[in-house]
Formats: sequence, C-alpha cells, structure tokens
Amino acid sequence: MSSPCAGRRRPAKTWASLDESCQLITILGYGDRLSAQPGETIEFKISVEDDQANFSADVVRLTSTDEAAAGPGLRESVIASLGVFPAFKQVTYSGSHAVIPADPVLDGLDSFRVSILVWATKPGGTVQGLFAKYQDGCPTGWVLALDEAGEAAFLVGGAVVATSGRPILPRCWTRVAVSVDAPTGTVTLVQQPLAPWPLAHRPIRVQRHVEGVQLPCPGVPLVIAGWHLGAANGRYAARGVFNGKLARPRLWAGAAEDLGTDPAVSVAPMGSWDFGRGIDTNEIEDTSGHNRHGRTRNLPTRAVTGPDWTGKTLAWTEAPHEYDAIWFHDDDLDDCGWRTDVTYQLPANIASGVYALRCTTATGTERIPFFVRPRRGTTTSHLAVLMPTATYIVYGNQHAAYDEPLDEMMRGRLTTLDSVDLYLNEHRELGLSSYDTHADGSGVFYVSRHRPILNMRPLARQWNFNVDMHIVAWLEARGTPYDILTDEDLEQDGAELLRPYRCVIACCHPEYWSAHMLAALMVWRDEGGRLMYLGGNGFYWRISFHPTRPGIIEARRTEGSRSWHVDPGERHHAFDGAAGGLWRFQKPTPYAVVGVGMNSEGFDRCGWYRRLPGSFDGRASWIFAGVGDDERIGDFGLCGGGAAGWETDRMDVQLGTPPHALLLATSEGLSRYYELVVEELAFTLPAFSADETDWVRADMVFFETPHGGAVFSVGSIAWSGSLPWNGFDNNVARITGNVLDRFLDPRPLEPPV
Amino acid sequence: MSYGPKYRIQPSDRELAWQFWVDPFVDPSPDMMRLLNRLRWGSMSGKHVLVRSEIPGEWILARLGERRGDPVVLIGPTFRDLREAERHVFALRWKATTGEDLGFAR
Repeated sequence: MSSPCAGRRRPAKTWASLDESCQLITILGYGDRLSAQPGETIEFKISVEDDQANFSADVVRLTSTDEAAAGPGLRESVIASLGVFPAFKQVTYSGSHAVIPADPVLDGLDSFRVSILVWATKPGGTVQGLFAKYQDGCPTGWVLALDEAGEAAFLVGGAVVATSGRPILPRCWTRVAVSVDAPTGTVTLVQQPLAPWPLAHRPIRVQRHVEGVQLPCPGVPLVIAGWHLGAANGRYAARGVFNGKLARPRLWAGAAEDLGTDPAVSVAPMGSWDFGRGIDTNEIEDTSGHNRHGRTRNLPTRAVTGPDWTGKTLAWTEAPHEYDAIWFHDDDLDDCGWRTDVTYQLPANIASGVYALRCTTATGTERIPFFVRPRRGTTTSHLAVLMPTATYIVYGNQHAAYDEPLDEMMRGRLTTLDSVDLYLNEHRELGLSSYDTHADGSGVFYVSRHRPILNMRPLARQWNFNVDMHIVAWLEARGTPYDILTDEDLEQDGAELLRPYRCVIACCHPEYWSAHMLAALMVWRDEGGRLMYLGGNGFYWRISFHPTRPGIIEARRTEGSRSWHVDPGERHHAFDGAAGGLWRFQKPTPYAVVGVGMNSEGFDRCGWYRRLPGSFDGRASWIFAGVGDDERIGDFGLCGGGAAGWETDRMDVQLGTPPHALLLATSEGLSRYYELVVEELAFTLPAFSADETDWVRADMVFFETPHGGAVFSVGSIAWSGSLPWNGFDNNVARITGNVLDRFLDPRPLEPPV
Repeated sequence: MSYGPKYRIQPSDRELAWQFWVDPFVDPSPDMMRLLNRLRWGSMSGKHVLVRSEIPGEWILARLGERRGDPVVLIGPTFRDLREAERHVFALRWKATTGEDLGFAR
C-alpha cells in the first residue's frame, strides 16, 4: 500500500549531532520552594549550559501550558520583569557518601587499621572508595577501596599498593580490612566473605611492603563510600562513590599483623560508626567515645538490612541494630546546591495562582513553575485547586522512556523523546525519579525538588503538571475564581489549610500521599467539604516527607504496580518508620477516600464514558444536566483522544467505597493494552485485559459525606485533558461544571435517608 | 537474572504483519499482540526511538546509545506521521529478527 502521509523528505543527510536537528536545553534552574505566600521570597538557581553571557528573567502567570494543536496553547502574562543577570554554568555533584570531619589526631595518624563490612552491588569498572582519608589528586593520603576489577584494594596517594587478587562477591557481606605500619611500609589487606557458601568463604590475606609510604593528609575529612573531592558552595563532594551497602566502619591506631578476626573485640577503636543509630537522620554516630560523629551527603538509603538481619522483624524501628547498614549510590542526589542567581519577593497583593520564573537567553528559555497560595489564614475563593506537588517531585526527571525495556510495550507505540529526555539521559547528575533504578539496579527510594525538575515544565510532555493545567485553563475560561494550594502546604498546615474552602479539586493524578496529608483531607471532607477528584490512580502510594528537610520524599514500592522491587526486610520508610506501599492495603484506602481505586493503565489511547442507572438517580441527575441519556461522554480529548484512560480507577464497596455511592458512568473503548494491575490479582491469568473483562474500567462515582459534603470522582487521568476540547464547550466540561457549581453552592448535599 | 522474549515468529505471522501495516494503531488481537511484543521487546542498547525535531510535528528516527546515559544517535529518516514511523521500524525489526525483508509497499 502507499503511504497516505509521505512526510517531509529531506535530502540525504548524515545525522551527526542532535543540536543540528533538535531544540536542546541550554538553560535550566530551580527555586528553593515550589509554594510561596505573598510577601515571601523565592531564590532561583540558574545554570546556562552554553556560552551565553547573560539571561533575562521575568515572572509570568500561567493559565495554560499545552502546546497541542487542538489545545488552548501556552498562555502566560508577564507580571514582573526582573532584569538581566550574568550567566554561569553550575555544577552538580551527585553520589552519596558520609563525611567525618578532620581533626589533629586523625591528621597525624600514620600507622592504623581499618575494617568495614561491604555488600557491593556494582563492583568493578571503576575504583570505588570504601573508607578514605584522601583528597582527589593529592600525592598523599589513603583509600580502602574496590578497584576496577572489583577486588579489595588499598591506595596511597591515588596509586594502588595492594589488592586482594579476587573480585568481591556481589551482594554478599564481606569484611574488608587493612593494616598499615608506616615505619616498615607494611600493608596487610584482608577480604573475608561472611556468607556460608563453601567456595566464597575462603578469606584472602595479602601483605605488601611499600617504600616511603606517605599517609597523612591533613585537613582532609574521613570519607565513607568514596573519597574527598572538595567543597563548593558549602557542600562536600566525593569522587569514587561506592555502590552498595556498608556497615560497621572502624578505625584503630597502630598496625596489627592479624586481621583475620575483627580486632574491635579486643582493642578500643579511635572511631566506630554504628549506622543502626540515627536511621531517620543524616547523622552517623561514633560510638567509640571519641565523638567523631559524621554526616551523610546526598541522602544514601538508611533503614536497610545489615549483616546480622535475622528476618524476625520487617520493621527497622523494632530492631534498629539489625538495620545497621547504609546503601550508597553513585547517582544519589538530595540537592544540587547551586548558588542563587535571582531572588524574587512576591508582592503583597499577588493573586494566588500558577506562576513561573521565565529565564531567556538567545538560545533557550526556561520556565520554572511555582505556586502562590493565599497568605496563611486567608482565602480569595471558595474553591481551592490542590496541585499534587508530591507527585510532581516523585516523577521528577523520570528516565523510564530510554532506560526501561518494557516501556514501548506498555505504551503500544514507539518511544518518543523530546528535549527534556535528551538532556536528562546524558545528565544523570540531576538525580533520578522514584520510577527509576539506580545504576546498580536498586530502586530509588528518595526524591528531591532541590534540583531542576525538567518534566514539570510548561510545554513538556502531557503528564501531571501540564494535564493539571487543563483544569486551571478551564477555570480561567469559565471565570471561576480559585486559590492554588500544594501538597506541601497540606503537609505543613493540615486540615486548617482546607477548612475555609467549600470545594477542593484534586487534580489529574494525585498519586502520592503522606499519612498527614490524607488525614487532613479526610477531616476536611467529613466536616462537610466537597471534593472533586478529576483524575485517576490517586491516593495510591504512601509517602513520607523528610523530617527536617522540606521537599524531600521517601516512597518504598513494596507492592502494587511498580517499576522495581524492595529488597526483603526493607519496606519501612527511614524517614518515619511507616510501612511503605499502597494505601489500598493500609487505612484509609483510596476507595474510602474518593470511592474508587486504581485498577488499570494503558497508554495507546483513551476511551469514553457511558451513563449508568446511577446517573439518573435524583441524588445525582443534576450532574448530567445538558447531557443526553445515551451520549458518549468524552470521546475526544488531548490525552489519548478520550476522557477515560491512561490510568483508571473503579469502585469497590468491599475495599471501602461507601455503600451509598452512586455509580454514575463507566468507561468504554479501552484497548487490549489496558490490563488489570497486579494488586487486583491473586493469581495471574490470561484474561485480564480491557477487551476481555469489565474489571478493567474507569468508574465515575458520586457520594455524599457528613455535614452536607460530597465527593465526585471520575477515575481517569485523561478526564482533564478533555476539558479544553472545542473551546471548553463539551460534555466533559459540562459535567465538571455542573458538579463544581453545585459544590460551591453552600446548600448541603443531603445523603439518602 | 535477565529475561527476554522467547516467541519465534512463524510464517503465518506475515498476515498479522499486514494487518499492522494497514493500520499500526489498530487494536491488536492476542496473536498480533504476541508478535508485536516479540518485536518491541528488544535490548535498550541501540533500540529505535523517535526524537522530536526542532520542526513542529516532525519526528526523527534515532537509536539509543550502547550503555545507560550514552547519547541518543539520530539516524533518520524523518516522519510527520507516527503511523509511518511505526511501519518503518516494524520493517526494520522484522528484517533483523527473521532475516527476511517484509516487502510491503509503502
């Protein structure tokens, strides 16, 4: 057959570089907060990647961010021009490690012993530091390491002086120790597997004599899981970052011939760090009595099983001594630590809304979104839109499209990459999303907003932020006043944040909820609040915010639809001890909160809804005013061409849907790519795609709550993508508008008698 | 432990290939899904992807790098219709997997 669309043909060409053919990212940045109140100041950190000398900055209000041909387009209005600023390329140092400050005793140490327990996840390829007092490039100083072959090694002044001669076994606890006698130049190195496997158990002990060994490295800190690179902007950086778990690092003064057994039992160490203490902190505690306490950098993973984990408990809080290990990764990042380039104090009269700092050079534009909430204790509307910033952070800088082999199969379409993908693929130092795996294959537990989050940008891919902006665009189009709130506001303020509002809109994909956020929402809802859940796969994962550092989130994916597995015994969050996983298996379930819960996903295209008997019930028929009895609802849209899809929810009374909930409509037209999610299944069976079972569907649900409140849920991410269709004149917008108008009406919504 | 596809493409799959060729976005039958999964489930090293061109509405055929983080390599051609891109890559993968040209006219 002949192609109906030959496409624009170019002459034969050598595709040598991306920058000839694609719009590449040349400027990027982030703010020190996502949400701010009038009068507060936001500090923005900007990096210009090319040779531009300056950038201009202004503040714009965003009311639409969709570039789709059928969409409302980018709508931004300048509210402040901040001027021209000198441009710099800023550097990010990723890779987690621990730092123990230098002191005169450590600086003067020339003969010593070191022991550390090692569980390596990516040995070989590069030199990875285990325990070091060495600054990169110095002629003196030492590193106990795994070398390029994955063998235990000892380096002096950056040069290997001893190796074990055998690669360490991956994921097998192994004691690595070294004794150094400076006067004689004797270096004794031990590599001793602790596992009971017959072939692995044989310990290795090698001894070398090194002439003129120069060990002191004054002023340089001890580093665990790497070696010192330097400090910039008040932040330490390491090189040679180790991948895997480490436990029980110990340091003794003086050399010893016999390193076959742990000398800690007989000789008091100069430093002995117990990673089972302070698991919910960034501290590492020295229990030797010398108070050589240290700090972790770039958030290595705590609350992981240690060498003596018995399995008698799955919660580190019950046996922290069994969780005395830290998992380091060379791609961990908690904060880029860039210097501030632009500060912006919000005017006292700035309206609540979605804004961005727009930075422009001759070669590129960066828009850094931020959200302005009303001043605490005030409102400007009866309606609040809760922007799911926790979800934005967790998805931040997702790499799945080019890292995940099954991505194309899930989407049923060729993988498509844009400028964000091209940049992130080559710039792993900007940190990963919680959907990614670390370079060693382990899941990413911690995510941070203290970095550019390039997939939360106007004009970027239709997902999360840009779909949520369809709701904002729709409110603007119909002239409905609204306040903007964020997940972090809810985490900080609790139910007080929501109390003044009659109606709250939860956006297209509010997937990540802390216990505190969810409790606050439920309190407000049951006091008479009206909740519009205009999304799918919401209220799904339990998260914990870092106890002292805002903007950092932990999520352990222990069950459900997930992109990696949690290792045995590691399901509990380090930040607060909570069991990670799905709210479906905890309390409250999403069904109890909004009447529906996640049941499927598919990304080839979306379907539509068909009304069910519940939509004709007098309690809810007003929702469908202006909509025909047999009318397809949302067989159009900017998200996959329909209102039902991408990720879908269904109602289930057994799982918590209130028994009086009305099933108003359900989806049709989902393809075979929509399969039942794993948490719905007790067994896997070949009968669970949308073309075979009505178990896979998006349900539209309504129910009343105490004190005149109510909940309306659509159970589909794509719903909001249909709002702008045909100039916001369509049956999805009509239904949504009917609900919104009634929910803003102070008259109580009476439940059935 | 690594895992991958095991289905061996059969001569009778050419009929399914033709159905895909007529409309790459057709809802796949179970048999067609098995064929598509076989062709799509490749190594990430050198996998075909589409990259958005600086020209609106245009996509460039590209391959992922050899290792994680390696640059994406543009190989062309360009497409303005994603169905045509699907056909093009389908034919490349069919050839690579079976050793035979698909031979369907564009």
